[in-house]
Amino acid sequence: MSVEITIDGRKLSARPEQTILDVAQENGIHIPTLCTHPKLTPTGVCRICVVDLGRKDRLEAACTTPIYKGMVVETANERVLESRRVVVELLLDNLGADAATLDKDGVNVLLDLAEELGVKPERRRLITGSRPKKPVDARNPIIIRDPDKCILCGRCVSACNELRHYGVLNYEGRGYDMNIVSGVEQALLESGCASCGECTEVCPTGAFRPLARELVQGEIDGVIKTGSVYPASSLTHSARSKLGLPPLEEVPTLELALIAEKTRKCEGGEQR
Amino acid sequence: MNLMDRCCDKCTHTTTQPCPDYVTCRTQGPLCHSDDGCRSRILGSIDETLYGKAGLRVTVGTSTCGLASGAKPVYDALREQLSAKAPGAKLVRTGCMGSCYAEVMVEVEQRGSTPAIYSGVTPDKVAEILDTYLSGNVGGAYALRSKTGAMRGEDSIPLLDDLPFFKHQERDAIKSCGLIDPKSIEEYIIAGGYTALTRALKEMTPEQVIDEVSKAGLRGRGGAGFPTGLKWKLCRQVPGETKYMICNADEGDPGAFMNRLTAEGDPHRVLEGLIIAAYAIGANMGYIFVRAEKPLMAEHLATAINDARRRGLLGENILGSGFSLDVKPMLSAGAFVCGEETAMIAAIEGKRAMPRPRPPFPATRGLWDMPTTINNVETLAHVPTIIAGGADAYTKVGSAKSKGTKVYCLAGKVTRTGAAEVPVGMTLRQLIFDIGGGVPGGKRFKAVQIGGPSGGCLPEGRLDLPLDYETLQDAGAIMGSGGIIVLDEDTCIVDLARYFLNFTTAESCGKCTPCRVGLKAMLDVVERITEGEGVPEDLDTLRKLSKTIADSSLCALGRTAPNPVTSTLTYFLDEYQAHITGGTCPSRLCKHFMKGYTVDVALCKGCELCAKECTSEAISFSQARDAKTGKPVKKATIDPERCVRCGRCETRCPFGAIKEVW
Repeated sequence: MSVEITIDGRKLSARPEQTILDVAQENGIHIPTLCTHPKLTPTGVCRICVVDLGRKDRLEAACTTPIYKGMVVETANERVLESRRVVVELLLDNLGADAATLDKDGVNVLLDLAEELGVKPERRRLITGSRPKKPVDARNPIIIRDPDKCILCGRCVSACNELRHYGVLNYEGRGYDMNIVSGVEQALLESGCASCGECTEVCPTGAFRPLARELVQGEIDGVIKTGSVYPASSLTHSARSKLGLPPLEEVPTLELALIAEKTRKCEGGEQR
Repeated sequence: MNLMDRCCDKCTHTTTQPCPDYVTCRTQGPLCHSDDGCRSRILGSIDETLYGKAGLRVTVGTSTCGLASGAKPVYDALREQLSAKAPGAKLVRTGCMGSCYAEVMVEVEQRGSTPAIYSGVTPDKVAEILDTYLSGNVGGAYALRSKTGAMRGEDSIPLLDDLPFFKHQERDAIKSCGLIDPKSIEEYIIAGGYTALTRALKEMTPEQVIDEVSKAGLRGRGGAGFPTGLKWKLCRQVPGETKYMICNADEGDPGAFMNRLTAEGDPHRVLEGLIIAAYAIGANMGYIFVRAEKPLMAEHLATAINDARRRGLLGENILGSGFSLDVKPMLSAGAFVCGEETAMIAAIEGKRAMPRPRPPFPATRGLWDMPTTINNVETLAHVPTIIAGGADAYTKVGSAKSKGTKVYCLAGKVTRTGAAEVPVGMTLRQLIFDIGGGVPGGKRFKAVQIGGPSGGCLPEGRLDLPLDYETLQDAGAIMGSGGIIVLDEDTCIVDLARYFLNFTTAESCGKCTPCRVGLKAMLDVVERITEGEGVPEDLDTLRKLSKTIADSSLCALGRTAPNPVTSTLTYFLDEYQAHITGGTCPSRLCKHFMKGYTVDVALCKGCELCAKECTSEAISFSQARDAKTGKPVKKATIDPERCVRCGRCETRCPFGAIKEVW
């Protein structure tokens, strides 16, 4: 069964379970996104992908809004663009780190969005205060955590809770003072983090970065192909000590990186 | 015999095999057999429940407002006095009648005689009140509930319903508040309680209940005004065995206390509404989500649930209808965002109270992914009236589009603060001036903030608007829960906007960007303006941020949070401009604009108290001669360079010699 909807004047046929974003992407209509990720359930956090459904009181996020028959969507009218621009400006102006340092595989997601939407660097700042500076947590041998680069898109929280079910990363505080924390505001190593590295995979800004993988990428690829690594899975700190395994700090970086890589590849854990 | 017990062995009612007429039989019984002895036993126990063994009923309003005004010592004094003067009299702690301005309130009623209400009672007045009343004189009373001619002095005391605060009211949801004992299921049943539930379970199908509520035109009293009947219907239509019914008692707007007042004063009415709603949608489990900061309300609701369960009005096979329901009270952690249904559901599930995008709506996927309906306290409190009296009677009051009555809370600069229940569609002017008595102290009315932090600020010119959902929305405000905060000429509008932005910024859950960062950005701008550092471009920034936050926030908290700013920018732009370009605060509230303090030498006695209070050594003394006596005196002078404008000298000066310079 298919449903007819109109996006930017184009009549499109879609499946009823799809969201506006799904249909747009399927038909080559570009809607910028930030917090949504193919592996994760959309949460509608960042509000970059808002579109106009003709409602006077609100815009809707394309990533979370299911389609309905006869829906008429405008993805790039002035109201929508202005709203996206303000959101990008707020994120940029409020960032704890220098926006130029954001990086995910060579992409600077915020500056790219700013350029796409025409947000000028020499504009009047919307908010003068930036998020309070937090120290970098580099004690985990495979994950670097740099909270100042965080834009609170929540991908890491979803990944930790939804993909891995570890529940180590979560939100703390509310409103403007909200933060993402591991455990009860602990360093990753002490928080029960299993060092699976899923957060580094999904983080769009480099607030969670895979340290070890950068160092030993070539070696990992070689070993993974031969399948000779023991997938020790991602055991927590206390579980490791019960099994007599050395604490994570003492495990060689290469082995940890391999463990993390392997664990990520075992979708659903059937290989464990 | 307790009223709730069986009258004799002919009664077959047990909690395991309940009689459908159990509730009606308590007051009109016995219904299944005819026995004069049973009838008189029932009448006797009704009489004893109400008047005790001495035929005298004394009530004290001990709601949160009453307790704050000192009702507890009054209650203790009454207990002591009554044990001597009228042993066996019934002394009851009731809820609040809504007239919070007149607390502490005591009502004395001798069976068959004139019930007299006393206001502003203190423990030392208690003995005199009782002595006068028991001697057959109502002198000194604030008002009389009815006139029987049995007492002396009745002519000089007005009837309660003739007082301006009560005259314009039509009371339904809060009609028993202040009359009955909220912790007694017996008193609720004597007042006609649970007859609506009896009727619904015995005579009506769930669909008929929904039809009746739809026909009555009841709309959600929590804010958005969604038609209640439709909400129930949508949830009923969703297939599934497990459904949930939730009562939202998590009232949190500054200035709104109607839900607290209703549930503290008449918790069984809310519970009865909840049971009927659960029956209508087909839920077997209910929750009441209560604010932990309102402990009395939580306690009264929990007592009501336990008593109802003990008497078979909750549990398996209620009143023999085959319908089963249990209700649990849940203490909330006090987050404003829980007014958003999906955030409340997350909180009940034990998760962080963050809303999620809708659809799916709770009617299809709510609590633990099951179909769920959420109604607020006041909405549910209207349900028993609709079911017991029928939709036709209910629709006699109200406006064309919205039926029935709404409880408003009058707070701020208004003579008679309290909660008043009036027909939907009454004008703001009637509410504030006729019922509330206008602005006290001869000050000029400036504006009214309606609907709390999500609502808007309306000026004098909008006072003749009828209070219904559509009109208010068009005017830039919302009905919200019905909090009315009256502001007089001493209120700075920009400071008011700052206050509400501060509230919403603190209460934002932090999930979506516009609400999390945008509100803080707005707050920063408004704070700058109140501190005299505003620039003309700030107004554009405020408009730009308001538009995006209202357009693109995830939930209604964010979408409505800019309202206090947008409405004040519409109606009070000149006050913003006075702060930004005029260099002054017209209400003289934003102290940053004050030029400093000066000493009126005619009033200064040279006592040096101000100098002792001053932390920045800005006050020095010069020698002068008194104009009349010619004696040498000291006079204070304030060095404007050193003064930090803390105002401590002004507060300390016993002669009023230190004055602000604007």
